[in-house]
Amino acid sequence: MSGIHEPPGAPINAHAFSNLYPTAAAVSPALLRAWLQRMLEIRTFEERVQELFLDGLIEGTTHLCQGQEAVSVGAVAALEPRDYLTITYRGHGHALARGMEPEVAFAELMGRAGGCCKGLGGSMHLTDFGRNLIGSFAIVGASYPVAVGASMSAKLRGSDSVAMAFCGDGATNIGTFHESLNMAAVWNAPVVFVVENNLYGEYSPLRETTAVTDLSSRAAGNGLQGVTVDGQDVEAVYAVCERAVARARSGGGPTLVEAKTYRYRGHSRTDPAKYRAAEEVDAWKARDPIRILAARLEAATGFDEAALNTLETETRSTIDEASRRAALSPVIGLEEVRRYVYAD
Amino acid sequence: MPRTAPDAETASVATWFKSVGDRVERGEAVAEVQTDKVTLEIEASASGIVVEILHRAGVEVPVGEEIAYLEADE
Repeated sequence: MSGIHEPPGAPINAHAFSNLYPTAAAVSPALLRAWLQRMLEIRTFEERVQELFLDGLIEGTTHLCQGQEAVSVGAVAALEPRDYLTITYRGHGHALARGMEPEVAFAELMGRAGGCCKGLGGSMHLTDFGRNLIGSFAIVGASYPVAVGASMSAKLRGSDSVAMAFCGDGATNIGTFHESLNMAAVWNAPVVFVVENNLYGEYSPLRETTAVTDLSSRAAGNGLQGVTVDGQDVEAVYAVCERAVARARSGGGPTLVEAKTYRYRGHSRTDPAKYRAAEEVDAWKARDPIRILAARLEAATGFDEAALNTLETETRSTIDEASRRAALSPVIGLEEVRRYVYAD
Repeated sequence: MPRTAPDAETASVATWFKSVGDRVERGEAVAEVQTDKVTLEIEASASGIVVEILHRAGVEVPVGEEIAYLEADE
């Protein structure tokens, strides 16, 4: 486990986590390939977001999750369509992992009527009730209590749906984080809490704001199970989340999952992230989640560099087409905006 | 010149990372742009060679105006 908590340190040894939480079921090569495709989709989607911002087609700001794709894809893969999901303002990856079409997500970011919230929400509000993605929050720490509520509604209705909530490392110092963990434990709520620990709360290194290094340890003080997983390994994330979801569904109660990961870019669009050493960024890029998965797929099925390049090219063309179509969607009129502001 | 904030009318290049004749790759930072509120890096949207820089660092440029020309590959 040494090394992982020191941002400039050596890359994480994935095997360090295998004893902590052994991989459950073997994942089929077909599923691995689907995950790789989805992770590439998220990576490429966000590259395009960056360009659309410079082109003036996306206003405001954006928070990119490049480098963290394995957490979104691995965790969300553990859910069923009937399960609930709450996400954060760094949520493009979560929404795409949940199956939102890139065109719909692009349209939302561009403020167009074709977006999941008719363009009224933007980058930080990729909410989609049709997918039980019931909230995408700009407020740090807001995703947790809503997920506890959703999970309890399922429990009280006698449904076996569970809820999953994402937050970042910074949110674990917020009151709602601890209140949610406590209530979930007291009520044995069917919820899985996922902390994406990318080592920085906005511009502050975790070690300067937080006294514990394993954020999963914060489960203990609230009486629930906590587990730390290598967030660059999609299979490991899935294995942990799949077990946590199964546990919640069978009445076993909540779990706190901490995924150690890294964001390649700054906190938001206007942050060049110069507070990080280049060596640190390089060390994490050497453990790129897409490359790790591609290498594993190659070992299992002979999926080689050429196959990866083909998949990348296909993905880029899909993303280009999705952003082009999204830009053709109109901006909704003022009259319609008012419909969603005032009750009749 | 990108719009860095909804109410920004102008911005200036704080630092050019590239000069005329330099090669840039798509996604690579070419300049740092500064307004009264923020500083951000802008990245090339295509790979190619910088053929002309229209505004020196420090000059206020209206949002939307070209700041440099890139001769793209192909």
